[in-house]
Amino acid sequence: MKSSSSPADWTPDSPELTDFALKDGPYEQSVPGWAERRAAAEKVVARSAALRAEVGEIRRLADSVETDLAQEEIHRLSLDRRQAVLAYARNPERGLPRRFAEGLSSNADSPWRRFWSVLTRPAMGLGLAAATALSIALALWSPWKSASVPAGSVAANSTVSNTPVRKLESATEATNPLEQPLGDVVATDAVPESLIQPEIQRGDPPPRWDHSGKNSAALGEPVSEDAPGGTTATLAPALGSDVSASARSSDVASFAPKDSKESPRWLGQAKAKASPSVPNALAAAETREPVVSPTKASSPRRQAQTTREIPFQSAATTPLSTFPLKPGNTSYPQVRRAIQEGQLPSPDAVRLDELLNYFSYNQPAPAGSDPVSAHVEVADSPWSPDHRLVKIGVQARPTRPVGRPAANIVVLVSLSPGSADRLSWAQRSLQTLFETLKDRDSVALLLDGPRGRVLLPPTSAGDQDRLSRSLSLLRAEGAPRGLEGLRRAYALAAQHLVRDGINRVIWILDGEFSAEVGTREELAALIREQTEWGVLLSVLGFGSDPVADPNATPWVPTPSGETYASVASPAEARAALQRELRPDPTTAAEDVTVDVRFNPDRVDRWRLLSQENRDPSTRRAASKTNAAAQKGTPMEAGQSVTALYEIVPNRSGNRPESAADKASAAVAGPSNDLLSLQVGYRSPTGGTVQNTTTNKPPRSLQVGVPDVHRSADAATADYKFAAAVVGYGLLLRDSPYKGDLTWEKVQSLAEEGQGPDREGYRMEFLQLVRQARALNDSASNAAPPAGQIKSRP
Amino acid sequence: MNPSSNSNQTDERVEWIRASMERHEAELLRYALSLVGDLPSAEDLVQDAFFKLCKQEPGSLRGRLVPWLFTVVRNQAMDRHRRESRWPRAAESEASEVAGNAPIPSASVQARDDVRNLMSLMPSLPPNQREVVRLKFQNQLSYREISQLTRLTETNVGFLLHTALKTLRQRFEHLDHRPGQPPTSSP
Repeated sequence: MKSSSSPADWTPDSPELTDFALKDGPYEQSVPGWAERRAAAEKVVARSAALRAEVGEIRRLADSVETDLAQEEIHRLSLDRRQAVLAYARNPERGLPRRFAEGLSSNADSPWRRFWSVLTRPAMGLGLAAATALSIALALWSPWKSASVPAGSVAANSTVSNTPVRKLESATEATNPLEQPLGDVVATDAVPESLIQPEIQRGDPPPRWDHSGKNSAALGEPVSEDAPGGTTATLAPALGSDVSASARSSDVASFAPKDSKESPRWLGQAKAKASPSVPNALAAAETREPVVSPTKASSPRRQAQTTREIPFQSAATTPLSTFPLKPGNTSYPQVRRAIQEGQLPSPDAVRLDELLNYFSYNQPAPAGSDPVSAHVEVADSPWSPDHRLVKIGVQARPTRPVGRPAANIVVLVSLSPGSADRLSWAQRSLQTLFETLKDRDSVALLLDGPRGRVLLPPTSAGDQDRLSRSLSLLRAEGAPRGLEGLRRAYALAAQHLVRDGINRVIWILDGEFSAEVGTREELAALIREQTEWGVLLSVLGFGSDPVADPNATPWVPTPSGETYASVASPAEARAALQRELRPDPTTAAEDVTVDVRFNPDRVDRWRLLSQENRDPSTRRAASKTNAAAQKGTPMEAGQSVTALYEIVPNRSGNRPESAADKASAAVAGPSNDLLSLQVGYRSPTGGTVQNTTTNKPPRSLQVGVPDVHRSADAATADYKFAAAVVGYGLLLRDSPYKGDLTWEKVQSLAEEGQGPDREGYRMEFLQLVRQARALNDSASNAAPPAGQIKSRP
Repeated sequence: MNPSSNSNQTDERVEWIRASMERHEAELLRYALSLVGDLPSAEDLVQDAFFKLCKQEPGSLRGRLVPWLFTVVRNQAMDRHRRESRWPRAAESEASEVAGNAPIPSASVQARDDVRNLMSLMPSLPPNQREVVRLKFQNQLSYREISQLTRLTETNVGFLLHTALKTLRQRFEHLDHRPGQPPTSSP
């Protein structure tokens, strides 16, 4: 298609100028010759101030129109209409149904549906309050019990946990047909009683387009599979699979999980811990406390009990070690918060492996066909020069080493009033995120609240001006509505779904947000359903430190593939947002196991720089003599983990006397190694075998690590930084293993270990070192004996 | 016929329809609502479009599902209006229709009458301009897709947009004393 007039003839009134400004018609990218045409027009426009101004006006106006149109109410087909379509899809030969007369009866009145809808209600009150095996048991009892009691009592039961919800939601009922009773939406058509009845039993809240199957699935599994309590762990998957069965029997519960792993995790102060079924490192790296309850009141605080560091082990008696592939991520924010508040953190908050893994290190990506790589560096320990400090890194192959697929990102901001600083974090970190996007990516921005609105409809990230302008409109203006906001966010995401790309809703909320804002089961159902359709959710809890303030952690359901990150600083906010740009998490390798075998010829004693008593698997693994028997965990694409071992070398006089010793002397080979590292894995496609307790992993990497005697000063920047981070932890813990480590030494290691530090984390750490050092100095001066660290009680 | 493969095909179709509904029903409903003005009728149109989709082979509309659905909704809306003589035949009118035409208020365009919102001015546009504006800026269709859908030429689509934007701008500037954020103000 050609423009009807040459750009040289354009006036500000020329219709072609609109085509040019909108980059459509002859200037649209699929039209042959668009680039030349566009370049020619740009030249003309650049020469004329009037044309330039007009183009700017057109674009601004177009932005405004688009923004305003995006504000329009979002409607969905009512449940019965959807069902009718699906019934027809199942059997088109039956002829086109007259409206939705047909298809409703076939599945709607499924006994399963009744079962779940009734089950859901009491479970809501009970299951959320005390998500233990007991509550599951009660929930299982409830259907029979509640079926025989008056509807009112069921409703009253659910009211216990949801009263505030009603109030907030009532504001949305008038405008959102989803919130209206079915009878209202299709007033002229008969709706089978079976569709309405379960909802009526519930009492005053309006019926929804139904996801009762999902809801109940969500409620049926309020406890992580990893939670303690064998009863719960076995019951929850059973519930999940039952829901799946109900989904097959009815279109209604069509988005029910295929297996229990897809059920939401109920996040409270402690969320689903490093569970293989939550593949994202962010989610997996949450606190390690057992999940007890998603409710605020019952969130347990970490017990004030000093955890011991793992002591030295004898290489002769315990040559094997391993370390967890998914350490937590809460220690560093806690430590930082304490230091920034002018206090030294409690030793319990200082967890060495978590500190270490807060940072990323430049580990080479796997080469060849291996999905994982291992990297080992050895030098003398900076705090005990007679010892070696061994840094081991395991890195999974990134999904796409070059670039990433196009992203379709919708940001929903639900900040309560009074969180001005968080608002500014949100603005700044989103600005950074937007700037890193490419033209092909699209971004939308929604503001949640009583007057929630679309600040930016899905827009190409090429239009940075517009993106920035929309950020300046962000406000924290009142109780967020949560559910409706999220629905709108998903609807916007659906409009611009990128096939094989990153489709993600990023939900920014603060500690003020709580489950009261939206009903939990509906949120969970919505999230799960959208996840199934490929729109993943990331929840960023701004300003909430899960341990310092357990009540501040928002309640969020996260199905598999969803992430929750608690963000306690602007830098973290930026980083968390950046991580959301990763492609959908994919498993790079299954059943990954790490076995570190120390050579007693070279190693007298060794110790993993970590704590005892936290992760039972570590303890178990550490004590296992047969490491191959240990069950592996999956590693996501791009995931990495780093561990430090301190080694007391075996001096020649202490070498165990054996025939092997002579053999090793004769054969220059593995026995000269300090240690050997074996990383076992299954490739994800063939790795369906879950039970590996007796099988050796089919593939593995083996790295022999020769002993190296070199000063830590000669080590790489990464090594020095890792040593600084762990050394910082040792000093903060006042560890018995700190050797002759000083604050000065930690600071110099941190300085030398800065490296490129693109994200500024290492610089932030260096500042924390300086602050902690100053705090320690003042504490030492105030309270002898000098050199001892006073910890916050 | 192999019953299991038959059942697989059925499952595939049902999943495809379900996915399509999930992804497109909202935008289709908005569009349909703008055409017919009341939600139940709009739902009828969209539901019928999905009924029609059930007759298609999954995958047969790859890459053009969205324009296809919009076209079905639109055609049905036109049929309906022809039957009920409510359709102003806007889509078939020529692009020579100018901004000076008498405003045709439509209850459907925007329930929320917020004067700060450009949407309050949308009813003052002729229906064909409104439709093109909506398809372009709300549904993000390209000139080409709009042209296929409305059977206008791409040039006509561009012209209608140009005219509509100009009108909106003039009228908004006219209302500029009202509170709110002028769309033409500099950032």
